[in-house]
Amino acid sequence: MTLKDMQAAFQGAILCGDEDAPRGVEDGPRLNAAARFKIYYDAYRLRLAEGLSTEFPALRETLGDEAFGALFEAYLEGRPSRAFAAQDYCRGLPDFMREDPHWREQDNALGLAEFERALSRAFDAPDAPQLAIDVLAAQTPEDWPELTFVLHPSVQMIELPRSARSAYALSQSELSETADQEDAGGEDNAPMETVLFWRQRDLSFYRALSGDEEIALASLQRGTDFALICAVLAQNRPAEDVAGEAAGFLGRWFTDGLIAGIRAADPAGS
Amino acid sequence: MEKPAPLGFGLGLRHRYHAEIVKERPDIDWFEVISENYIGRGGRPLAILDDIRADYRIVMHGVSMSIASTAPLDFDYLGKLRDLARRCEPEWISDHLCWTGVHGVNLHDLLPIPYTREALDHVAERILRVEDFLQRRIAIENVSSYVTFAESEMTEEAFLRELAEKADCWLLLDVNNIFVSSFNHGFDPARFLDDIPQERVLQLHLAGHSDHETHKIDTHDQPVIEEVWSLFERACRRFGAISTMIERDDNFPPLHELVGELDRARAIAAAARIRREAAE
Repeated sequence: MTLKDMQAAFQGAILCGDEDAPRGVEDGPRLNAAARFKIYYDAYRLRLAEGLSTEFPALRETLGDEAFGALFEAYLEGRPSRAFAAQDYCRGLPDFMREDPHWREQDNALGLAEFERALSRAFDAPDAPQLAIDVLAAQTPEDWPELTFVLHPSVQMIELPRSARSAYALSQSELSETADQEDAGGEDNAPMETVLFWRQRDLSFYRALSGDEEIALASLQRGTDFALICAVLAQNRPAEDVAGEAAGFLGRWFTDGLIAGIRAADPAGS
Repeated sequence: MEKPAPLGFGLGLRHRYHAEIVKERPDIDWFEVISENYIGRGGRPLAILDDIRADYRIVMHGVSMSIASTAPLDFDYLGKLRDLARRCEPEWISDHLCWTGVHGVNLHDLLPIPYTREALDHVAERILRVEDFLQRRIAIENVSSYVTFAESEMTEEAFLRELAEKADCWLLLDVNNIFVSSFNHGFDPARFLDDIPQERVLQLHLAGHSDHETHKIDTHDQPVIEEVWSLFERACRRFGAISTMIERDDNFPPLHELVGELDRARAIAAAARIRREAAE
């Protein structure tokens, strides 16, 4: 048997769960070939089960071992890893759930999986400065309308079922490396909400966004200048309230560490 | 090519100990980092690595090169590995004598190979290509294994010896892996060590394992056991001063316990050096 044939057979037996060892595997001093091969069969599943449990602890707790195990088996069978890092493979779980006929109907579970992945991604996002609000003082009032901002790479805004945040908070009530900041408030009866994720120092944070803050932050993320952000907000409120609210949002974004850069208007107008 | 000077006694850098290492700067000579923990990632892990690099030398140790696979070499992975090496400036880069998957699949395990002439030629050719791509000589580690193949035409140590010559690579000898495999397959671990060419051995690994009576599994979740310390002493006598580190990947003890194991490794190596010099 060639090396190529041996590897195809060995991998096939691990993926398909053959009871028998692939041809060519020998009996050992204490275990027969099948028992020896089973060490690899079990290790594959155990390693990735541990990886998924580490990446999605709240999902596992919420679903329970049986349902989480079923999800794990479906993921392994339906989408074997093609990532070189096991962590990257595990983080693909929400994508699988969204495409799987059964799991895509499980809004709460899918939302919680997306929620936990966003926290992990915030933790691993590239470093960038997190500017203090003092940098605004260096700008002249005349420059403010044309200021644009760069968000920290860890910032994500994801629309999720409202249940995801509460399920996560419940599972993490004892201890976590994350923190749910005080919400800006949202539509209490809406089934969905937009959650903001980001990292500050070594911690991942999250909070729900109000509709206005979501619009303002999304506008800022797209490079919209401060004047236009105010104009967008003005569609929903009296004009005299807009500047104060926008300044309030901006102040909190600086305090939270969401702002990585600030750009004044290009003097050449290009 | 001259072998790099020994780094002393190091530990595997793991997230669990980052904060303590950054704060306390413990008496550890160097750190081995798992390449895949940093490839394609930013943020705190890389920032902490940069911080630790300011005071410690590092070595990059990978688990995804899949050097023995019959699938094509993954140059996307190798490119990222090269980028990380340019950033981190490791003393050297190592990976395992194993395969991790074929047909685009990654089983995330260090899978065994039959020790055949065909495998030897195949792996040596791939190591040479990787060394050419990375522009550096790499070190290849023996893995713990749980099966043997009827097709094998030589022992594992003979395979490693020939591979190091043919591919002009270094060897990273994992003493615990030698012990685990010797138990699982019924060979003499001392003979294994004695058959490895001294001039090719760049680094030693020490670790603990789990004992299942009928077999042992390389789990890195226990202290180094006495039999492995004895084998390490033999390795020190045979190979002389050599960079040595302890791997711990689960059931993490307080850092001072791992530093205590390193102190024991230092003492054993020092005693072995005296015996080696006395015998010369």
